[in-house]
Amino acid sequence: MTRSLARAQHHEHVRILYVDHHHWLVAWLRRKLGCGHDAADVAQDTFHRLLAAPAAAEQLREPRAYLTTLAHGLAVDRIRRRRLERAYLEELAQWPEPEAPSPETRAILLETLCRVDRMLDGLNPRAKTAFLMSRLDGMSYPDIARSLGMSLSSIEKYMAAAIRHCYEARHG
Amino acid sequence: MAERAAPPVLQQAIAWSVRLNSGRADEALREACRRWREADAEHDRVWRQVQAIEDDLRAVATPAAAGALRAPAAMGRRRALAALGLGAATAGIAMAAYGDNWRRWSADYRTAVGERRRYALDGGAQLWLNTGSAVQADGQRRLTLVAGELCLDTGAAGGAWEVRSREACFTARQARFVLRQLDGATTLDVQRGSVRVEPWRGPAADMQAGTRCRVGAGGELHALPAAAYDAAGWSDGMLKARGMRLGDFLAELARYQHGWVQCDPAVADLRVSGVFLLDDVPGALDTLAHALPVAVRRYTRLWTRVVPA
Repeated sequence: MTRSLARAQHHEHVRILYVDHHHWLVAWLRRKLGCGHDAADVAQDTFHRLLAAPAAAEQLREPRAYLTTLAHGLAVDRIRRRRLERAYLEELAQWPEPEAPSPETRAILLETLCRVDRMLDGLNPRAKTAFLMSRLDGMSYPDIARSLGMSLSSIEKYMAAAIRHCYEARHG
Repeated sequence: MAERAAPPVLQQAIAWSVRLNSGRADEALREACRRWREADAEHDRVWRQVQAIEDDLRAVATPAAAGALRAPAAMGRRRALAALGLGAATAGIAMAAYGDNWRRWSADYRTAVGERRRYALDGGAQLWLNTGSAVQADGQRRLTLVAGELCLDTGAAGGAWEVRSREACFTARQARFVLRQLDGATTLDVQRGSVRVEPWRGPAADMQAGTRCRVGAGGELHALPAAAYDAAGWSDGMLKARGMRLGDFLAELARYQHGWVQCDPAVADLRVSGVFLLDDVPGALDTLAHALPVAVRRYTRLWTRVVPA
């Protein structure tokens, strides 16, 4: 089978999935997100992903399960992003104007923030606490060890584990 | 957490990053790391990947961003997402900020926030770096101030030194001067001898000992009045204020620690005089509360505000 034929078939599969499943997927997402606009966007993104993933669509035995898993992930990502953005803006509101970053700086920072949040997702909470004390608060390892009541070598292990975790999330 | 053993190069890169960020890394360690990176292209490649993570963390080490990151997460895990490879979608927009971060990190001389260092250079010259600064060595007697503030003493003999900032090139021999890279301007404070200032665009000028100037992004050069504090006091670990506005004093002091020190506008115009130790910002603030009708409020570890008493 030639490559273009395979791609054409893939698109056809996705089209059929779209016709059969788009409607209920939007309804399912609307219940989940509580917003028709977001639901339509996420559904669109879901099929977009599917289109970009060759060979996935044809092999679907359980299209609904696959689509909901995919859409759920995208919806969570969107909610998570909104939550981070809101938390960030709330924190920013505490600072008077001179310290407030420009909209451009803010947008870049928000992107980085989302990336960091994703990298840290799933990291052991204690390792995460220690890691953030070091990298965000600039505390030295001995200070962190004292404040968490742990040995210096445990803190160093946490640091290595945290970097490894982030590395897997980002480059793995 | 990952259970598989990491490949050896990755393990080494992580070990370096752990040690360099301990808060106690010295020049010898940085040098050893540099040698390790240069020993093999693969070392350098993995090192950069690990540093991309550290750079991201550095970029969000502001009170608002850190607060948002620590806000309780109500989300479940997104294993499915990770498996589908959605991680890289947002990389593009952050690239603009990225280049400068990398340059700062890879600079030859650098200090963390709250750190100050002195280096002995060729021919008896001495270089001091103030808090949160980075300087690159570009060849013999040539430096670039990438970020922050430096003080260069070229020594009593020897040839001319050249220091570049984003706005101008500064040349001097047998001189001592302080350069500070601001957002869109560089300030120069000549302590001894004279310094030739050549803005990247705009006419050059010679500045003499005891004078200060500011070079803007457009190359415009303005003489500044005498500062209300000793511009090189930090190289001795001190902030020496002479009738300095409290607002300016606190902005200066805030550079030496993470987080923000805010000043209530009602007290911003009070005047501060005295010598304060930069290694003890909380102590300096407490001293202030005794000397002036102000109170120091500490809301979080990162957030201090000075208000009317």
